[in-house]
Amino acid sequence: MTETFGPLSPALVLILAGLVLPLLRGWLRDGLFLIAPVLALVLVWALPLGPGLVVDWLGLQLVPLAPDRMARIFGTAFGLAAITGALYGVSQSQVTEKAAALVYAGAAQGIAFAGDLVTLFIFWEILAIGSTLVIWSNGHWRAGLRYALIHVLGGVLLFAGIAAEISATGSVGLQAIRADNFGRWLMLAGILVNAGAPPLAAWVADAYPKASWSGTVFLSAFTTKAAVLVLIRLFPGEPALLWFGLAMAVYGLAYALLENDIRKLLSYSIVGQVGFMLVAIGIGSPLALAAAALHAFAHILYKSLLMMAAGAILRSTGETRLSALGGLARAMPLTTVALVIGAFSLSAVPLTAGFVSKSAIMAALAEGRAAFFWFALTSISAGSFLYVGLKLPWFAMFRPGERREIAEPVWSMKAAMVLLCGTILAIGCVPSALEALVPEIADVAILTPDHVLFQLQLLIAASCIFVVLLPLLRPRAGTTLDVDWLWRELPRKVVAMWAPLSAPIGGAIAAGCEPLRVYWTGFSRRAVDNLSGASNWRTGKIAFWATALLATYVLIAAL
Amino acid sequence: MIASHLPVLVILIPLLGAVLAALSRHGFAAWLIALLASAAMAAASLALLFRVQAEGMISYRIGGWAPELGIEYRIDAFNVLIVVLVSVVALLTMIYARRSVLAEIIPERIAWFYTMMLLCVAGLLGIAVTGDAFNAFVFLEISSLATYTLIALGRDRRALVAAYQYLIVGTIGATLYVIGVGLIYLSTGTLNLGLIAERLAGIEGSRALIVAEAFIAVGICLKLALFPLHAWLPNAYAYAPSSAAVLLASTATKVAIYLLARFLFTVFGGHVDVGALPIGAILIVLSVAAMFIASAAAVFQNDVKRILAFSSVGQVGYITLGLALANPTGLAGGLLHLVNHALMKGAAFMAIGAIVLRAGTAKLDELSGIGRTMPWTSAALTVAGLGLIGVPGTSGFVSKYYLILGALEAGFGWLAILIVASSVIAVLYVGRIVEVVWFREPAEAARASREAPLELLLPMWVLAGATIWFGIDAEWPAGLAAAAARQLLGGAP
Amino acid sequence: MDHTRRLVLIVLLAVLALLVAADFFVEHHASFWIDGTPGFAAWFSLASAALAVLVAYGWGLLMRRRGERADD
Repeated sequence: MTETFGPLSPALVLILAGLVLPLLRGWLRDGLFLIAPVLALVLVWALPLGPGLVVDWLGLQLVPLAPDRMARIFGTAFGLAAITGALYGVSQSQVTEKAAALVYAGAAQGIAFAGDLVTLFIFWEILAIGSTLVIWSNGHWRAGLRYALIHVLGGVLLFAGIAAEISATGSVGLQAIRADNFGRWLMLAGILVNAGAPPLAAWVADAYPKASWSGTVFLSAFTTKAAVLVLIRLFPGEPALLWFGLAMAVYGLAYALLENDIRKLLSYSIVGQVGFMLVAIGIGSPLALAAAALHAFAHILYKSLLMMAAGAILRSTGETRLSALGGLARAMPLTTVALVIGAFSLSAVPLTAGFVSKSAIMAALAEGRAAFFWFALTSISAGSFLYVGLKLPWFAMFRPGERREIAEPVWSMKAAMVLLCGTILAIGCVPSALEALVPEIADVAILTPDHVLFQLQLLIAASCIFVVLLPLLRPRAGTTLDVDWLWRELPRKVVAMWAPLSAPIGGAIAAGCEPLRVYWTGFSRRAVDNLSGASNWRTGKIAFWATALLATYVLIAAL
Repeated sequence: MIASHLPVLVILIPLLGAVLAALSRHGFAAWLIALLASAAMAAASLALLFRVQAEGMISYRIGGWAPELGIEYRIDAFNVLIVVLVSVVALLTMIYARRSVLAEIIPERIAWFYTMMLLCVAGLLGIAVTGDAFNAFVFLEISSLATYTLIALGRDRRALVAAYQYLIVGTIGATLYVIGVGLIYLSTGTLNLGLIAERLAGIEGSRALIVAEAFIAVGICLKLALFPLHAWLPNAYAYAPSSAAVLLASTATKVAIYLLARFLFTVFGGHVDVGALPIGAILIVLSVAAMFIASAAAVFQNDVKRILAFSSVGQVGYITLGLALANPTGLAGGLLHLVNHALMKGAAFMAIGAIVLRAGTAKLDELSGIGRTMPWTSAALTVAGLGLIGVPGTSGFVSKYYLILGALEAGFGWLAILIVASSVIAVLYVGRIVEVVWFREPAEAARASREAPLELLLPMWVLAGATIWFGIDAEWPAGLAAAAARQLLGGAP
Repeated sequence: MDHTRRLVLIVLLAVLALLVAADFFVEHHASFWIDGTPGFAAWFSLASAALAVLVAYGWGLLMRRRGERADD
């Protein structure tokens, strides 16, 4: 069976479609944009589970297509995100963004199905290129460049780690390892950059809100979750991940509580939720890994939905700042419902997908006797409800605001949101349906009375605090300083400080170096002249060189 | 049996074709003859490849004379590769040539052009198949004389000067070579390469042999345009007719490299005193110089043909580096790059030839936005350019990968770094072309031109496709190159 | 505190009281003993949500700047 599907991986379908897309026009383009992700999802399920075909390439045993259960879970999530994202964004007029989004989604599928480090790295880089293009296609050159540079750094770290791993073990296979030597630490660091872990977590909230209303939906789904998958495959049970994950959860919570821009708030929340997954991977038991995968699955669905609602608000009002929004619930009822369902799923309200996956993570922590992390994450869960379940809908949609003449988004955007709402609620109401995908969660208590009651107390209590401390949570215009200050503002400040000093010092240096500079100018001009006229040698010069070479040979040989 | 005469047939077919083409006096008839002859030649060389793969080395004695007296043709895993490369590229060039020649050459001279093309191919194939040092000189002269004429047929007036310069340099090279062969003959009493190798083993410390090796190496290095003996090449390639440039760029220097490798490894490789070592050290230095300086010169050219020509000098450096490394992996990488570079440079010269046909210029600053009106041609040029850089997924990556492994195997970590570093220069000159062709607003030349005809696109994309194909499915060419490298390092021809 | 907010708070507290009351009548499957005690989730959540808001507010006092980033 694998032979019949041989080269036809979901990744290839999407990437090829992305490359062909700019050549098409009109409904053909839209049709391909919508069909390709569906085809990819069909392939995810049509590929039979197995070790995959081994391809010998330059002496490396590559497995470009290794469909296992993890690949199928993430492939399904990536597939659903691509389908709904394409449906949502089909009315986007920027073809660059659409093409880049398909390539980007394809690269994520490629990572999901990669069976070796080299294939993984290749798709890792395509992923970075695709996502950068998505940001650039919205015209944010500088932000895109910052994003690209961070990912180049991550890619270099990963490449160095992979090279060290291959030269140490001689194998390119994906196997569970611990960060126990320098090369593996490099690899872990490279993956963590993509996962949005500290100290470089700032890129997520910097880059994602810079894409268009439709581009951010794609961005929110793939990069960080692909990194989660790679961590599940390579570093299950790595103790360092517990602390990285906890730090991300705390960071995401604090920054999201402070943030004013909806899409920035949701980006911080991505970091927080990926933190939950990292803690589960750090536990490393089969249940914990399944829970991490499931949480990634659910998170891709509800974060896409939230970003879609945010994109709809942006497209209708031209605004995403909470301080400038309000009173949209009446004008945009469907968007409001989508926002609330997405937010409730993130906060693990019972009967949503998020409740299922978060229950699984908590059960895995309990099973692993990780009491500290259990209580810490439960506490952060309560906090998460504050910013996403209460602050976001209240300030954006429900609080009294000025009346605006705005319309609901176009039908394709609505259809995508309805589709995701349905999926999230269906998973939440019938969690057993997921057992085909993730059988490990069969024994997890989800919709039991004590567990539901526990969660409801958690949420209502947090709501009480929200009402009491509302003045402290009122969104304010501004920005919260982050580690990215180091590369976004420090250089500017240093330059400003340096400027008054530099004139006299620079003058002195310039005076000292003048003869050198004159010499260098002359030298470089002569070099360029020589190079550009390099072929206009006289014949005699060639003959001279031939003689010289002959003489050298004879001399060396004779000595 | 025709099959047993295959080694001589691959030379006789183009020679006969050349005579017929000259007699025909008619452009189209000459083209048809050249095409048919090339097709027959390609078929014969492929048959030869399969025979060599099945039976091993083939020895063919002209007229049945023993090697001591007569001329012997020897086909082994190494030179069969060259034979196939030359004849297949020649066939593709002939398909490509018709439209391009009609536009570039005076009608009365077209028949002569094809005559010279066939003679040149016959000479190149002859160098590849012969096992006789002096016979190789004869074929070298045949191909060189044909090449001088081909270059001089170019439309540009500077073509004459280029041809004249090449004539002088080529003659110096051939003279040095023949002096070297004479010295060997004095010492060993034979011109047969196999016999020379056998008898050299019995000779102790002869100064004459060292000098012979130096003369032969420098003579051939002039022909293969090793830096700094390269200066004839850029003008020759730039002003020759487009289709002649395709043939020369992808085959002429490659055959010279073959001859150098044959002498370094098969003939002198087995001899203690005149082993490849002193030559090797100099060769590494010159190869690295070529990789950097010639590539840097390419960055500063404005004529795309000259960019490609300088890039050829640089890329020859990688191949000779593989020879100089002289270990199985490095040598395989060098030979692989020989084949891969022939394919990608052929594609690149075909693409720029098509652009010259449509837009009438090869000057970079006049080609802005040509990608909009000639997308397929420009795409082929881009693919070839990516191959020259050595981007993964192209054949250039595979051969450089082997070269780097070879350098590491030889313990030259710094050399591996230099290989990667010099590729950055290729990024510059290829990047310039790509930027102008794709990302600039179409200039006058671009707006006035349209996509090249199919008979130009087809051979161009066969070569560009091979560049991609051999980059992804590297097994087959890498296997052939590894076999050839083993053959060479094994000592015996 | 304005009228509506006070009303909402009273309703929420009433619901919370009801939930805590109900918590006494279900069978608990504690993971770490204390989380199985009735009403644990309520007080733990009150404490953590308040802590989260206060920590974030404090961090905001330190790190929140007016205006956009210079290079956005």
